[in-house]
Amino acid sequence: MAVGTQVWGKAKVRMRGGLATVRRAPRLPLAIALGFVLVAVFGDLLAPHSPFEAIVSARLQPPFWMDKGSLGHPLGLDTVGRDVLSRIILGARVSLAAAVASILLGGGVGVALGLVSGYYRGWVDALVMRITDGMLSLPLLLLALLFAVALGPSFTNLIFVLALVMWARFARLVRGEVLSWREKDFVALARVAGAPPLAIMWRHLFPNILNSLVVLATLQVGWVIIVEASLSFLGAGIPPPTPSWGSMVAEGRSYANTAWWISVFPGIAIVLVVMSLNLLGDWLRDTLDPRQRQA
Amino acid sequence: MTTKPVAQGATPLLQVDDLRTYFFTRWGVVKSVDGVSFSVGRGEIFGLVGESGCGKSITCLSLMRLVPQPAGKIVGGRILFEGRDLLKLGESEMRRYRGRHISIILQDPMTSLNPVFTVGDQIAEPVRLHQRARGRDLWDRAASALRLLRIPDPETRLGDYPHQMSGGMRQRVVGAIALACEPHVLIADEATTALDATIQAQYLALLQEVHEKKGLSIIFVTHDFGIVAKMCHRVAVMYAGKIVEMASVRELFDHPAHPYTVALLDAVPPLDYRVERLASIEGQPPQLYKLPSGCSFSPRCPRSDSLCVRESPPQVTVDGGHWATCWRLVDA
Repeated sequence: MAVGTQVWGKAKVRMRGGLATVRRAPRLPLAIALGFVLVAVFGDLLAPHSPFEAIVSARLQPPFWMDKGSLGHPLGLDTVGRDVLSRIILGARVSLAAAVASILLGGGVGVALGLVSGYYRGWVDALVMRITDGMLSLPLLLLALLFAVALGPSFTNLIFVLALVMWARFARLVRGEVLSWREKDFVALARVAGAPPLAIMWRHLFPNILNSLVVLATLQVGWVIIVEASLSFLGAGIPPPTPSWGSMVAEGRSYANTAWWISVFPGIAIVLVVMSLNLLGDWLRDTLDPRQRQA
Repeated sequence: MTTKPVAQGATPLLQVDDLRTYFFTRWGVVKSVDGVSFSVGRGEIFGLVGESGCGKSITCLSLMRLVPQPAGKIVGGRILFEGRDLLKLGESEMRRYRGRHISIILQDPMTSLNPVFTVGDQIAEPVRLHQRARGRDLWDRAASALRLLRIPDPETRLGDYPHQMSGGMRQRVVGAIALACEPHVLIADEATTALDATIQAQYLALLQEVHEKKGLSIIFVTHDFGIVAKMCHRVAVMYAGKIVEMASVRELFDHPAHPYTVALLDAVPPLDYRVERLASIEGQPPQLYKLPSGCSFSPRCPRSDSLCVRESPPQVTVDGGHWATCWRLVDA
C-alpha cells in the first residue's frame, strides 16, 4: 500500500494504509521536517524578537551559556545586534516559501513537458529531451548564479531562477515514467473510451506517476534550500535585511573567529533540515518503489 | 453453436478492404498487416486465428485506429463501418466511433485497468464521454454493465479498486467497460488467453450470452482452435500479415485447404489417444521486415515447390465463401 495512493485515492482502506505507512517513517527526520514546516508557518508567533530590531549596544552578544550571554537572546546577537534565534526562525519561512514556490513552478512546467514529450514521442520528445539533457549537463549552481546576477536579487527572481534550473529533472523523470505507463492497455482502452489526449495525460497517466513525483519533490526541497542559501551567501539571493539562512552564514563569515554563533547556528539549521528531507525522500523512495509493492 | 449469421445481404456491418498497416523501424519496413480483407455481418462471430506475431492484434488495433505511434502507420485500405470509411475520419470523429460503435477487450486484465481509479470510475468513463450521462444515471449505467457481465453485487463492486479483484473478475470488468456503451462490434483480442481454463469457459459463455441478447457482432482473435470451434461462425487464418484462408467454421475444420491451416489443425493435440510427440510446424514464422519471395509460408511448407518460392500465390475459391491463397491447395 503506497502513500501516493493516499495522496490521490478516496477509499478509506487506502487512507488507513497511508497512515500506517507514515507511522513507519524514520522518526527523527520526520520530526525535524515537520518542525521546520511548523516553524516556517507560525514563525512570527514563535520568534521572541523582531528579526529586524537591532540592539546596537549589545551587538555580537554570545549565546546564553557563555559569558555575557543572556536567556533573552538564547543564541546571541549578530553583527548589528539582531536576535540570531528569531532570524533563524523567520529564515525558515524564506527557505520554505522559496522551495514550495519554485517547486510548484519548475515542477509544474517539468511535469507538463514530460507528459507531452512522453505521450506524443516523435519530434516533440526529441526536442524537449535534448534541451533537458543540455540543462542537466550544465553546472546548475553556476547557472542559477548567472541568472540571479543578471536579473538582480529579489525573492521573485530567485523563484524564477530556481524553477528554471529545476524543471529539467521533473521533465526527465515524468517522461521516463510516462514511457512505461503509456504502454499499459488501460491507456489504449481510455482512447477507446473516447478520452482526448489531455484527459489521458491528466486523468490516467499523471496519478500513476504521483508517487515518484512526491519523492522527487521531497528531495528537491532540500536541494532548493541549499541553492537558496548558496545564492544568498554569494549575495545573489534574498536581498537584506530579509533573514535568510544563507545570507546569515555569509554575514557572520568575517567574525568566524570571534563571534562564531552568527554563522554556525543557521549553518546547523541548514544541515539538519536538508539532511532530514533527504533521509525522508530516500525512505519515501524505498517505500513507494513499485517493485516492493504487491500487485 | 446457436445462431447462424444473419443473412449476408446488402452491406455487412463492418467491411475491411485491403488493409495495410506497416511499422517503420530501423531494421526496415515491417508489414504487419499486408492487404487484409474481410467482412463481419450483423450478429456474426468472426474468428481470426494465427501464430503469435502474424498480425492479428495489429489488425484489431488498426480497426480501432489505435496502432502504436509514431512507428506504426495504416498505409492503405478501407475500413467501412455501416458504409463509412473509418480511415477517412478526423481524430475527433474517430473518437466518437471508438467504444461507442466498435469496442475492444484486450488480453491482459492486469494492465487493462488503471490501478488508481475505482472500477466504477473506469466503467463510467466511456458512458460519460460518449453518451454524456451524469450523476445517478451514469452510476446506474455502470452498475448495469457490471450486471450484464454477471458480477455479483454490482453497486458495491463499483467502489472497488482493481487490485481488490481476481484476474477473472478484472477481465469481466474490462468486458463491462467495453460493452458499457452497447457497441455494435466487439473485438476480443485474445480476451480469454490470460484466464485459466474454468474461468475461460465461463467468460466465453458470458460473451455468447451477450452476443445473443444484444445481437452483438464479435471479432474473436485467438490462437486456440477449441475456442474457434465453440464460438465462431466464420474464420480467417492469418499468416505473416495476410489472410491465407477463409471459410465457415464447419468448412475449415472439415476441409482445410491451405497447407498452413492443415498444419495448424494437426498441431492441436488430440484428446482421445496418446501421442508420443506433439505435431509442430518446422521452422519459425518469417521476420516481417524480410519476407521471402513468393509465398511467405513456402520455406516451412511441406508442399512447396519452385513456383511457390518464385511467385505470390493467387486467391483460389474452394467452395462458395471458402477460399485460400495457395498454389498447391490440399485436396479435401
